[in-house]
Amino acid sequence: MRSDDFRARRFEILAALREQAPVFWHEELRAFLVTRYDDVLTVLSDDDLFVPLHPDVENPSPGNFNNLYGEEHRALRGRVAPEFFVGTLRRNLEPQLPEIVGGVIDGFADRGEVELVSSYARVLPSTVMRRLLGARLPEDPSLARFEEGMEVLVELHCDPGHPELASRSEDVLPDVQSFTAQLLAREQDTPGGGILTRLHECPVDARPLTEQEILGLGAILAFTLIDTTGRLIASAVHALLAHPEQAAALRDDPALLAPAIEEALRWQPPIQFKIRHARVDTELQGVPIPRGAKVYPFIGAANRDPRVYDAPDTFDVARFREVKSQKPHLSFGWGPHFCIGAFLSKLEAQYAVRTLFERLPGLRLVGPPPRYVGFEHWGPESLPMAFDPVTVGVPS
Amino acid sequence: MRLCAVEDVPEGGCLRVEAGPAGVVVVRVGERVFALKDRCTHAGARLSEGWIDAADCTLECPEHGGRFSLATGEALAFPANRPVATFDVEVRDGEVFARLP
Repeated sequence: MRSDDFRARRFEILAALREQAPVFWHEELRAFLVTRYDDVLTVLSDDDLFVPLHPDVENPSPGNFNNLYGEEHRALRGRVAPEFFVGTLRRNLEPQLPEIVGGVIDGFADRGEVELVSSYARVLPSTVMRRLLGARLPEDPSLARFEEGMEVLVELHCDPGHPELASRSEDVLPDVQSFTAQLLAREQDTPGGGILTRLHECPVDARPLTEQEILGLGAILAFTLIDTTGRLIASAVHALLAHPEQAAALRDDPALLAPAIEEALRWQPPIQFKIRHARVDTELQGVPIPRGAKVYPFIGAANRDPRVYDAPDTFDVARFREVKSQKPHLSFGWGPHFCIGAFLSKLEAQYAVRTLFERLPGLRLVGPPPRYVGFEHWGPESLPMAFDPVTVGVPS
Repeated sequence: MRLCAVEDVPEGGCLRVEAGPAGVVVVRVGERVFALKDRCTHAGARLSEGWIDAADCTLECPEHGGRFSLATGEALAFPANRPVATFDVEVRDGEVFARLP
């Protein structure tokens, strides 16, 4: 599953599993792979049957509410959820987005070429997250080392027996820990504060969060919202450039922007699967799943289930023009764990894609077709691009 | 039944009224007044805590951004895909009345 073959032929292999073995025990990963839409939906959303951690295991990372379920999950998530409410983001963040996005494009617009993943797709979400957290998150290379380190830890969590990951995780742990420690230090110098400051303020009738929980929350928010949104922006731009007729349809009808981002999410979900564990003995598609067994609801497979979507392998920006006739993609999960940053991520991607195409005429991919990389997290490794250079920053 | 006075609802904003099984969200956009069930069809959040786009006459769910037409209740954006119930509204002498089932 971690092989180059699975990387290159991922959707083909998932399609074969979905048809022939929709609940498939993978010996090497020691997990059931679940690939049909309805089953993935059940595993993602039914906390009575499937929970994030093994039912006998304590949450090893305090503050990471992703690992919790039930009332404990609801309470911790609830402390930070209002920060990501639509009204909060529309009011406080959206007015800043044109300046943030424009500023990043200004940095390379006169050059005529750019590697989009490192110079744009990853930069925007980290800039946004700095403002939201109210922390001057350390810049690259410290931020990049933190993200790489988190990715190794996530992968090890998906595949705990993997010897190379286990040894790499020991190397990266100091990078992750030192970054996380800086979150708090930086926060204290930021006037006005942000999410991290507000997490220190305890609402009436609630218990104060421990410093460890606040740092854990900060780290998981920083990692998930930067990394996944970066991958979404990259794969959305790639999908449009690889399908010029779709890019043209979007240019002709700006109302297709939001549907196009939804389709990009369906087409190449930045998180390919989640990890769940059976809370009780259960079964799916007649396959018995014992209590404690690890289950991967494979979002990347569910999103292309032909039982749910017509021509599922086709990228079609108009597919979700009307959502009432469509089932939602599962790229943000479903149920109590539905991605807390879903709206934030879509808002950023909408501004990122629209502004890029507006500002850079003649934008095109150069070089060989991009490689999609990653295991759980997934997106183009790099996107070298050319465009007609634009003069910037000449005051009138 | 009477829901509220028109002036109780901020212009371009909304008001939650305790009525029916889930509450009703009353929205005012210019001269128009809308009433919808105050529960998102995706995950049950209160739409009255959401975001109103007066130009488009839409309401976005606060929690996950599902978007609904104020006039018809039709779902316009994921994760919502099912319509929210709307109620016929009548304004008489500055008071808002709606026909609740």
